[in-house]
Amino acid sequence: MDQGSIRVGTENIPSALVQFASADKLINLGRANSLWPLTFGIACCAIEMMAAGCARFDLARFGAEVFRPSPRQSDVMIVAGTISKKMAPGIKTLYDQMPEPKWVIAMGNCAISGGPFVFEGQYGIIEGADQFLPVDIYIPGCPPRPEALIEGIIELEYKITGWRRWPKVTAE
Amino acid sequence: MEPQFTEFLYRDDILWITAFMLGGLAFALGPIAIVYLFMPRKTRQIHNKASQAIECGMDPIGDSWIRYGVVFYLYALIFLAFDVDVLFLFPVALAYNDAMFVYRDLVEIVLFVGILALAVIYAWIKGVFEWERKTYLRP
Amino acid sequence: MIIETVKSHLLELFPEYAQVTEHVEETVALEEQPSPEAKKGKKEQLVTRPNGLKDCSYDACGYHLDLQLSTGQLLAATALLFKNGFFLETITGVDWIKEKQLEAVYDFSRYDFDLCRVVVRTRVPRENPVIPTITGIYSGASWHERETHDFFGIKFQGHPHLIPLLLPEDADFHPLLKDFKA
Repeated sequence: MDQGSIRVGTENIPSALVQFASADKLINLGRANSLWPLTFGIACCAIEMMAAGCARFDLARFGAEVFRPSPRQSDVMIVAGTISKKMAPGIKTLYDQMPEPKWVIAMGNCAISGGPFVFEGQYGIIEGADQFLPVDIYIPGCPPRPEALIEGIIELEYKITGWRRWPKVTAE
Repeated sequence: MEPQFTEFLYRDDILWITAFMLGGLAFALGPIAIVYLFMPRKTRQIHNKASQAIECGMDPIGDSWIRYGVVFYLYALIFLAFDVDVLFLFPVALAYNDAMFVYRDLVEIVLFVGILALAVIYAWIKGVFEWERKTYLRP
Repeated sequence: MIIETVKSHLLELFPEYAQVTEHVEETVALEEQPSPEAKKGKKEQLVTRPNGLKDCSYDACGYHLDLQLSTGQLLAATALLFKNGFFLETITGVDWIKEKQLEAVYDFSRYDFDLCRVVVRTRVPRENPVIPTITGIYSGASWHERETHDFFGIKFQGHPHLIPLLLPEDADFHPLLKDFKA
């Protein structure tokens, strides 16, 4: 990826008029630690997203507690829930209306690949957000626990800055 | 020597005022210019709907210029009346500077503000500050 | 008691609890309900009759009265229910594929004085399911009828805006029919 440009499929987005070199790291740090999500809870994963935003599993300590109702003010779209075919044009429009830089987190099994609603002959849902959105982070679970959403946000921070807030924990 | 003295002060005052005005403009327009320089020039599109008015992802129904209650307009109007009052009070400290006529100046200013406040009292009696918005049931 | 008053009002409208239980396997045409004269009687005699005719108790069925009509009587029954202060809970459909009929089920209810729930059913042939809309009486039926049309294919005549509610706008299939294979 070129410095400062964003890859969109096959087309590059022209970057800003003024470029930073090493201040980019600082700016990315700022972006990562203040990710404002777009409230896009479609189904049950929305409850877990709300729980993650509330007091027990606080998202405010990561700067991500301000869920914006408007796509024009948000950085990350957390697609939480089953995407039905009727909802898909709305999601595409909202994604278009978000300004760069923007990221997408697919939360829950339904947003990753259709989840439990995939069967032969299903007529109503789109099997996964990455059928039409460029997804950055996948959070598996049905629904994923709020800690999993927090881990997803930390992973996104790592993707943006290259620095992980807390070390990765592996099961022994 | 007197005219030169006042001329000197006048030029300095003008410089100060210009500096403040430019500073105010910089505060107001500066963020816009900074954003314009630093922003990415496009955003990734799926449907090319970036410039559509936001209606939660759906196509907007109806015009955005809607009818709203007239109480908002009345409040803004009365605020304007007060604001002009305040504007007139700014040079008072400089102009009424004479230590000999303190009480005379006070009475004069109170009269001035009182006459301007009559407009607000008139609006008050007319009931501008009752926040009753009449809503009409659509047929 | 208040519940008696409510039910006596209802009995003016629905003189008897008429649950259709006969299944005609051979004939394909639309069946008139087993006691059409009782339905006519319902419409003419709007006098109070003694209560006590509950075939199904609320604990067993979840509703108090169950009425099956033909499509021609549906609007009259709905108007009478509206006059008696019932609100519409839902409209749904049932696919009786063996009898080649589609059934629309309307749930009405009122609970302001005492709970009373009434179920109204209508049957139409499967090939040409047309039912008059009740949006003229209950405008909240608009979305319920759209959903029923969406999933069963029942066309509601006179509906102002019969487009799919839950399926995509260009869907031409009706998923809840029993012979729907994706």
